[in-house]
Amino acid sequence: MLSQPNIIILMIDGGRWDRSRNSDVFKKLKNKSVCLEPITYGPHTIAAMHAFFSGTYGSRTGTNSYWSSYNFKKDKFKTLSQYLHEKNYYTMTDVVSELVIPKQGIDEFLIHDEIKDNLLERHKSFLEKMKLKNEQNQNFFLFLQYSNIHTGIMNEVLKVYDNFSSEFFENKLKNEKRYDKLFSNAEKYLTEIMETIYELEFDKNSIILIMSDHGIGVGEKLGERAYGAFCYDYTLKTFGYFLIPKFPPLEISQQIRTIDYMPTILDYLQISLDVNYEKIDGESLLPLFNGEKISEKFAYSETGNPLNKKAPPKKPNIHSIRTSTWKLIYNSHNETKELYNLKEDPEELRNLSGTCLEIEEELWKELIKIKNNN
Amino acid sequence: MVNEKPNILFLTIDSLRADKFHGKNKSSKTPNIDFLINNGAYFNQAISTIDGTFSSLGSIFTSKLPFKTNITWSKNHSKALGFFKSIKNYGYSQYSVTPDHAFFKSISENFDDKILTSTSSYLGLWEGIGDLIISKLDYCKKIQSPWIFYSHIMDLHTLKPIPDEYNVPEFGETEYDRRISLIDIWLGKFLEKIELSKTLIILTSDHGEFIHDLDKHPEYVPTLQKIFRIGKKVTPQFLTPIGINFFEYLRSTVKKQRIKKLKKTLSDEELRTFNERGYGILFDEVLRVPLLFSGFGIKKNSIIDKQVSHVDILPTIESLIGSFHNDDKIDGRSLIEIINGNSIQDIPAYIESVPKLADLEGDTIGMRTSKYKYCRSRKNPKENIFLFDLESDPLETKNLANESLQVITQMEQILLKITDFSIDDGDEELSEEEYAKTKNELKKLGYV
Repeated sequence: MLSQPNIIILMIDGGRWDRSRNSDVFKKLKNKSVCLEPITYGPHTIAAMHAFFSGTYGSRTGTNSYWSSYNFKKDKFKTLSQYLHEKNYYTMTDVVSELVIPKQGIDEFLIHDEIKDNLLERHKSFLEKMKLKNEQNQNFFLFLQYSNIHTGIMNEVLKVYDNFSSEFFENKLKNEKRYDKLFSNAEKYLTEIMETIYELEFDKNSIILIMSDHGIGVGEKLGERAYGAFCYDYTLKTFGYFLIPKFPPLEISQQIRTIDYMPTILDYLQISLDVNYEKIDGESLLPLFNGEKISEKFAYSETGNPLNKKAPPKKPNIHSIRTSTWKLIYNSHNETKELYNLKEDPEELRNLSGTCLEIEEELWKELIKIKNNN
Repeated sequence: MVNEKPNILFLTIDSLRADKFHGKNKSSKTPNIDFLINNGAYFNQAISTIDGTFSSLGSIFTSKLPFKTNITWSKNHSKALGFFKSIKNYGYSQYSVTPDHAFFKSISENFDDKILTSTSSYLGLWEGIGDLIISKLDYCKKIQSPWIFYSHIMDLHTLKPIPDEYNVPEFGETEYDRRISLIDIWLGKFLEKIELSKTLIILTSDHGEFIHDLDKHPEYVPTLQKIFRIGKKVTPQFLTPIGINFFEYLRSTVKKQRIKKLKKTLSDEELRTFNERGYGILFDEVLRVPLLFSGFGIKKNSIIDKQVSHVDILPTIESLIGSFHNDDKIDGRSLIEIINGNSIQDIPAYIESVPKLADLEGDTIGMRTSKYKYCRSRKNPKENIFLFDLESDPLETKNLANESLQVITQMEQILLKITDFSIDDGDEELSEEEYAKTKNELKKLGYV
């Protein structure tokens, strides 16, 4: 009999939160889970997932851009995999590239070929392998990246258009159709993977988190053909469905962040944060899951806009801070600001920066504080 | 959000020490300073980032640590321009009376009006500088608000004797104290020219100073200097270099003898007063400075013991007058919370020594907390280590470098974190192999 639950994370790379909300597959999940819409730190996988694994913004961990996987300060930040590995969990991950997540504490670090590999069959086989681990009385942590939305976007968008292609931005319907087809494939994958999970009865002894790392644009804003160029909500908002044994379904509406996942899982497993490492930025959401109130925290995000270059920059040049009502974006590449009232203007079309709103100053101070690690 | 922008009177008084500005060590007469403290918030544990004028003022005006601006006596002065540029764009007209040095010329480049005064022999307020400031403040009264007036006052730095009527015990125990009394008199005259409720006054200094008793100073040999001056007049010019060398030889011989003699008669603390800034240990005498915010928007009569830094001044001004400075990489934090009576976190203050004239960097770096002062050689963390327990030894007389290794390790870790640019900038370089691998992977993923 296992004393602790296993941890299974299904990460739908590029999954848009709005599509999950309207999806029948996700609605079924919603009826069984704690349902969240967290804000990601980085609107691209590398920064987003390093922040997820460390519970800390990349502005502190060193991984704040596409280029900075190797800059992850492993001596200062302990990852979820390390914590679980130390608790004798068998830790296994399957990702699209070695840059995607920090490797520390992972027993089996696998990389799939997003074009050739059949991810559904591959991941099913990993789940079966994990069943054997449980039979040997060992807990496991399994992280599976579903990368085929990325594959489609890479082939049909990234390689075809640039961030200013008029052909792309003038055909929003076509872009949406393209994305929806890829999302539908993700739903099929998820349906079958969940069936396997139920068959193996992991829903009874595992915490299962179905999450996305960032969204993907379909032509909302000129200058971003997919993601990673801006800090708008269509890429910053993600989805999260926590299936926790014996936990009643719950929808969390207040703003939370993807950096809060890691401390939440540790809190549930009653694993204390290691004081020999730096303090993390995320906070446990467990009280919220238990129906208690916690104060809403600012959500900080940043990314590197390639601007007129062909590659993203090595350091972020766009930064944002968000509450559930307001978002301030600071474009450090040209020192401009954007302020949006997300409740009244969810598409972030009316820039209110410079209109003497007190909130702008307040958000600016918070943004600078987090950006400069104060 | 600030609806009404206050005028700003920003004064930096060269070499003014915190312990001589307020508290039990003060013997000067300062009714006007006391008035401002009563109408403001006084930080009695404000720490200058560096013990040299321009680097320190650079920290004040940029909210950045000196090693990030590299502002020195002769270099990078324009880096301190940002504050004044921003505040001008924010709608302030700008005026100044400062010494005619490249640094001040540089920061006042776009001022509406500036007066640059002689630096060959710094002038005191009583020698005309005070009147110039008054005339400018008179002018400011007539123009449309908001304005900022800045002055850097040299009265404690100049060697010129103060008028005899003030050089008496009534105005303080030492000449340094009496100079402060004289500054205070002028401060009173300035206050008559402004409307305190509409003006934010910021008063601080660039650094502190070792206060020498000139008669005991080992290098001060008046008889020798007098003979040399006479000799210089009667000696042919081509012999002058030989004369200077001879004078230096005599002076160093006398100095050695005097030091020997002084060591027998003076305590270590008294001997320390002969130290020079930029050489050796970063004692509180040269780093602990007064910091006073008074007038507009300031809660009255608060004496604040919390340690703060010069780099906190700019963000505090922003909290008081509104956000105007668009630099996102500052090292300071706003002190408005603590001014308003709330608590703020203790943060170590980074400190360093001023570079000698031709150098770009000073020899010593360190940090100060409310409990400890730690400093060491910039180049070698194992050299010239000093650790003082400021709580039990506020005069910094006992070096604990060999006794408290654990504390030193902790302090060193914090120091390294502060001086580690990569943490701020995420600017760590990848090795060639890492770069090639990353590029290859990003290409595969369709990002480059």
